[in-house]
Parts: sequence; structure tokens; C-alpha cells
Amino acid sequence: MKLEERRKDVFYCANCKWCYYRFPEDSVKHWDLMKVSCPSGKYYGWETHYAPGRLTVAKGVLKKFIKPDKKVVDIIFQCPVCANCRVICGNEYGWGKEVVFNDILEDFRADLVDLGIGPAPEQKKFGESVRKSYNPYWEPHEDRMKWMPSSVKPSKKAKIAYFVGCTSSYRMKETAQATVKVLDAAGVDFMMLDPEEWCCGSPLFRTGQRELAKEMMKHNVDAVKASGAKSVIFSCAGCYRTFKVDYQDYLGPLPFKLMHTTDLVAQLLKKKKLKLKKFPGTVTYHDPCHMGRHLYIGNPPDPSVFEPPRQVLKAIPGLKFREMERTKEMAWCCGAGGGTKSAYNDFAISTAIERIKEAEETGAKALISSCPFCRRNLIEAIEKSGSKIKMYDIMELLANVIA
Amino acid sequence: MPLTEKALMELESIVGSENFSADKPTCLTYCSLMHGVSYFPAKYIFDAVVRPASTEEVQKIVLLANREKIPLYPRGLGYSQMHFPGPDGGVCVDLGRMNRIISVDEDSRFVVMEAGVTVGQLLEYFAKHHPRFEPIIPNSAPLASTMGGFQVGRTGGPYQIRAGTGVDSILSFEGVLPNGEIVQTGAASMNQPWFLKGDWQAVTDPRFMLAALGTMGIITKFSSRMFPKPQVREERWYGFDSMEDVVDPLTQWMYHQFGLESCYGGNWVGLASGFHGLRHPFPDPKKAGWPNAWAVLLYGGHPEEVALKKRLVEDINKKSQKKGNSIRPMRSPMTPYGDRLTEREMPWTEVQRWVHQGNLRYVPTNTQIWFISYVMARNIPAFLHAEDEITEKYGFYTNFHFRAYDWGRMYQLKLTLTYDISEDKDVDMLREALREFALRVKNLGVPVGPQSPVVIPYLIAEFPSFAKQVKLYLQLKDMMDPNNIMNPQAVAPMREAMKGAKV
Repeated sequence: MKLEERRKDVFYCANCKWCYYRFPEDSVKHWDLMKVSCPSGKYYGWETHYAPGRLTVAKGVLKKFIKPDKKVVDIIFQCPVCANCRVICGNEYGWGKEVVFNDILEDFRADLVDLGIGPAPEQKKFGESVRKSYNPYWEPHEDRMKWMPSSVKPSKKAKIAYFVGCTSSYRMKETAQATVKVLDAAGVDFMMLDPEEWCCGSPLFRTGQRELAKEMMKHNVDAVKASGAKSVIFSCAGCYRTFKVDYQDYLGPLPFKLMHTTDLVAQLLKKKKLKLKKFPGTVTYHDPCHMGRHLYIGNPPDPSVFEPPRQVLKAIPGLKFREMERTKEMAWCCGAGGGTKSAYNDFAISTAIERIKEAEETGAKALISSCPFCRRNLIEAIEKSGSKIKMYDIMELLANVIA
Repeated sequence: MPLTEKALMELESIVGSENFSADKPTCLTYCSLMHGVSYFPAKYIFDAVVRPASTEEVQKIVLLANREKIPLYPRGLGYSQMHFPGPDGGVCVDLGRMNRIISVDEDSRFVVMEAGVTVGQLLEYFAKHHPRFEPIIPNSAPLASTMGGFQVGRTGGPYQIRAGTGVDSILSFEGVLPNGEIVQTGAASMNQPWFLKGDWQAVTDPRFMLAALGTMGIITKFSSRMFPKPQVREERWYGFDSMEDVVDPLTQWMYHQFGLESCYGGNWVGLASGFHGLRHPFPDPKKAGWPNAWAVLLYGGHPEEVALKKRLVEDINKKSQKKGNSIRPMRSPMTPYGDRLTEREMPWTEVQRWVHQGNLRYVPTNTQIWFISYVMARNIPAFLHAEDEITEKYGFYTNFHFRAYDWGRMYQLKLTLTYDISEDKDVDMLREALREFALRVKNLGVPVGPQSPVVIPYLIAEFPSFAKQVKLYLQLKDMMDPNNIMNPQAVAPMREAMKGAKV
């Protein structure tokens, strides 16, 4: 069992439960800034659904007090793997070593899949879809590039390849369309990987379906190598995280550069390659877990991962930018990650509604993010909560203000 | 004796199916307390966990438990060490859903809340709705800990020098007795004044039930004092040549209640104990030119009050200096980065080095207790290994945990190695196991001995109270709880220890 290999990490958790609450930088002076940090614990209410509770279940399995069953599957999979617990543990209370909650959880999930009792049925279904048509949405693979606007003509060969991702290709096409428009406007020479772009494997890695995920990984890396591209850019935080963390965990350093579109656009703006119109409005930014905490974790942590999207937004003339109360490494998750959107949608929506409320409190008229999957869930939450706030991908906003 | 299907169904009907769980993973989670690995259940597990939402639901659960002889273990967030299930299993009553802040009276300065309100929740609420006031919260307790647990645990907190520990701030409470009766004590802060509750006025001291950790009933609601936020907050640092010099002025400051929240002192390990993480190296105190020991006093209140306190403190300090004490004012410690010392600046290696050098001799602050707890907690895999091996080798069910005792205003940490007293094992063998355990602890780099904050061996079976008190307590318990349903494991060791005791 992979969990067995993590035995020490599992028992490293002293059940102190500091991870239940976010502890901001200036917490010594501002005790009043505390907020519950765990979406799953907050929604389900049971101690079992907070990180130490899940680890207690893992300890029980390791000590053979309990056998993995359907209930264990529910407990372990009802988590968006946002890693807020891990950041709080590591950065605030960890004496230099944090409990690697999300890694342990993913290993535990992989064990449950190997035992044949996980993942949740809905998650199993998207696995089947990926196997059949290389995307989790049961859409035909040949439709993957149908979103491409006729006005944009990517090169056949270029140094930069754009990895679109499944959500932008099939569900949130505006993100992909806006991205190519921005790249085109900035004169970036880029190519597409189609038809060799397959699902990056993020939903599979997050839900323990690793064997299939590895197949996707191998194919995608080979595809990039064969294309001759030197850099790959991503408009999806999930794909970016998967290449940057998961792929490199398995394969070692990749022979090409990885970059999120916000990184690239921040550089283009610096070089004055893009001219922007005025945007008279107030916006706030939602940090996707995969574009923040999941990359921020490490030794030493690199807070610079949070800056590019903010640099891009602040470069738009007339735009008023306001931070939400929980931002950057302490950002509240949108609730959709870790397979919860497909299997536990009520939980995902409830978590997103809390984020929407937080965004509204800033007085912003629009909520911006850099992850199509977050965007998808947040849009659904806006509809369900009746909120009037608008939701845009950062590339979408940018495409609208290009002069 | 496992619960009957009928009893389980009845419990479920009281709280609703979404607030009832009898599955093993959930029950196991609720067995795990803070520093939970040390208490990780090897033998016993709850039969069910229920999450009542009101005093009335708690009452129904207690009545059912009486009828069916089900042991009940009330629980906040599991920071105490007292509700571990026994061989009879039992039901964990999770009070986490009873988390309503009912009312805040700014004029009379009290807040009424349910037992499951967490510290973080209360702070958030006050910051939003009553920013001019501060609730009384446990000092250095995690934000997830419940206020009910704080009160029954007699823990300290900010203002404790002025106002006493958490339990002293209680004005009234509502609870469910072991016979199912709902009682309300105290004055106008609750719905009904105490004099309308005929049977209850005999017990005038609410502490009778508070600090009982659920052995005499379940506290469901209480009112607690709150304080206006001081207009001025200031802190003064003092340096000393030795730890011995700290004790006298510190004791006097405490005695005269000059501190707003607390006044405390120690060596640099003590200070560093409150500093988390390893992002920056902690400066070497000697290279930084810091004195060997320090103390800090936090003032607060009206500006005139603070000025007066400062003068009085200076008087004490001068008198102390005349007697040869090395006390002198010092600047607030600065890091090499120019900032004032803030959290996350303690390198772990440095702490370990100091511990190895035996510098950690005095434990006058609970911050240091937390530090030691962390030393232990972070070494838990090693401890667990030791626990498993000793259990296997000597045949005892062993475990260990940490206890902080409040002796006057000094704390000491006890490392306790407990064993199941129901198993009649050879005492010599037990001592041998304890000795081996002590050796293993010592090998981990924690000093052991009379001057050490860690004192071992300590047997839970040797109940450290006077036999008469214990007997009285048990008589009271039998009288109030004839079926012994409320937290029976908390009193089980006492009953065993009292067998054959001369009273």
C-alpha cells in the first residue's frame, strides 16, 4: 500500500487541529481575522472531514482497526484537495516540516482505487470517458479544437505550444478563445498540439486513478517533444499544476519550459507588447488552489507564484483591484477540485457560494480567475445564489480590453 | 456491551440521520484526542457519535442513556484527555453543532453562548459585531477549541491575572444532569433566574459542574464575562543575568496584577517556543547581545491606569535591584532582518541544541509547555514506536500524554505513562517498563529529572489526591449518576485506586 509508505507522515500529525483555522500573517495583532480554512470540514461538520480526522482514518487503516469500505471512500473523496490545511500546518506551525495532507490523501485515494472500492462512481465515469475519448466530458476527441476562432491562425511549428485543456476545449471555450486572441494580438508565435493533446490527467491524479493518468502523461509529454516546442503555456491552472508537479514527480525535469498564460502576459505587458484600453470597473481575483498553494508549497515557499495575475490586472488602465479577505496561500477554495464537482456537486456549489459572497463583500463588480474549472463552478454558484457579480477568466477580461 | 439496534435507532431519531453515525471510521476519529497518536485507541472505540443541536436533544440522549445504561462521553473538539471510551464502548456526544452565540450584553458585559462555540468563531463574531469588547478566551489554545471545553477544563486565558481562569469568568450555565434534568444556574443572564429552579439553589458554586469534564452532567450553554478592549496596550521588556533573577520581580508583578493579559519570562528557548516555523534563522542571543533571561509585561487599560502601573512596576524593580537583582529595561528583541521578533523565526536545530545543552530547566510559562508538547508531538513516530515495543515486551497496554498542572502560578509538564488498571500486572514489571520508557524519552533529547519540565514516571493509578476528597467525589458521583453513564472512564481509575484505601 502507498499509504504504508507514508506511515511516518501520517503519524506526524499530532491532531492539534490548528489547520481548522486560517492564521493570517499579522495574526498576533489581529486575532479577528481568523476564518475556518477547510471547505470540507465546514460543509460536512464532522471532525472526520477535517484533515486530522482523515488522517485518523488513515491511522486506523494502517493499524488495522478499520477496513477500507464505502464509508472510508466517502470520507477520503469528499475533499477538494485544496491543501489549505497543509499550508497552515507547514507555514504556521510546522517546525519546518508540515504534514503533507494532500499528498497523503492522494496516496490513500490511489490505494482505495487499487483495492477496487474507490473512487466514487461519478469519478469512475469520467475516468472511463478519458480512456475512451481523452477528455472527462464524454465529448468526441475530434471536437477538441472546435472553439478556435476563425480570425486566429496558429502556426504549424513554433517554439511555444498552447496546451488548452479539456475544460477550456469543451465547457469554458471563452477562456481558450480569449487566450489565442491575446497571444495573437501580442504577436506571439504559437502552435497547438491538436490532435495529440489529450487530457492532462489532473482529475485522474486527484482521484487516485493513477495508471490511466500516467498513460495520459506519457502521451502528452511525447506529443510536446515531437512537436519540437521549447515552451508550453497553459490557461488552465489544473493542467499547469499537473505538468509542473505531477509530471515532474514521475518523470523528473521536463525538457521544455512550462508557463501559465498569466506569466507570459505579465512579461508581454512589461515589454509593452500589448496595448490596453481603459476598463472602468472594480474587480477582485480568486487564486485557484492549483495556481497558488499547490505551487507555493515547497522549501522554501515561493510567494511569487501569486504575483503574475495581479500584475496583469493592475496593468489594465482604470481598473480598480481589490483583494478578498482570504487570498493567496490562504485563499478559500472554489470547491470544485479533487473530483468533488462530479461526485459531490452540492458541496462544491456550497463552497463556491461562500467564495462569491466574499467577492461581493469587496464591492467588486467582477470576479476574475485564471482557472476554467474554478470559473465553471463559480459561474454555477453565481446562478444558484442569484448573485449579480460577473465572472471572467483573466484572459477573457484581457481580450476585451486589448486596444 | 454493544448498543442494541433499537437504542441506535432511537439515538438516530433524536438527532436526525445526518447527525448520527455508527460507522467505524467516524467513531474512531472521535476517539482521537489532541496529541492523538499517544491516545490512539488500541482497544476501545465508541459505538456511535451523535451531534445534538439543542439542550433538549441532549436531555433526550441522556434519558435514553439512563434507560439503556449507555455510557456517554461529551466532547468539544477533543483537546482534553478525559473522554476516552472504556471497554463498554459508549456514545460520544459531539457538542460542535451547538455553536450559537445567543446574546451579547455590552452594558452588563457578558456573552451567552452554547458550549460548542469555538474560540475562532467567537473572536470573529466579536470583531464583526462588538469591536469595542473582547471575550475571555483560552490562552494559547487552538482556535478550533470549544469555549465549553475551555470552561470545564479550568484553563487560563488573557485577563487571567485580573479575572482568574476561564471558569472564574462564568456567570451562569445551563446543563443536563445525569438523570436528564435540565438545570440553569446564575442570574439574569439565562432565561430563568436560579431562584426559580427549586432544587438547584443548593449548589451555589457552578464550578461543581464546571471543570467536571462531563462526569457530573453536560454543560450546554453558559454566560461568560467580557471586557472592553483597552484604550492603550503597551509592553515592556526586561533583561536579566539569570533565570533565578526573573522569578522575584515576575512573581511580584503577577501578585499585584499589573499585567493586562499576562506577564511572563524565561530564557530564549522559552521565548522561541512561541515562534513557529523555520522561514528565517533565529538570531543567536549571545551574538545579538541579548541578556541571558528576559521578562515581558503587557500593560493595558486607560492611559492614566497604564501610567500608574508603570510607576508601581518601576518601584518594584528598583527595590529588586537594590537586593542585587540584575533586572534592567531592554529593547524589544530585534532580528537581524530589522523587524521585531515575530512568529516563525525559530530554527528547529537551535531549539534542539539548547534542549540538549540542558538549558531548558525552568518552565514558568505555558508557552514553554506548548513548546515541550511540540517537541513531543513532533517526535510522535518515535514515541509511538516506543509505545508499541514496550506494550509488546511487557504485555501492558501503554500510552502516554502530556499534562500541564497549575501549581500556584507555576506550571509543570508531566509526561504520564498510563496502563490499564483492570489488568492485574506485576508492578515491578510496570516500573521496569516505565524506566525503559524514561530512557527512550531521554534519548530523544528531552531532559529528564527533578529540574526538568518532564517528570516521569507517573502512574495514573496513583491518583494524586487525598483519599477523602476522592471518596467524597465518588459518593457525589454515585448519588447524581447512579447508573454511572456520564464519562465513566474519567472516574474508573479513581474507583480502582480507592479499593482498599484507608479513608
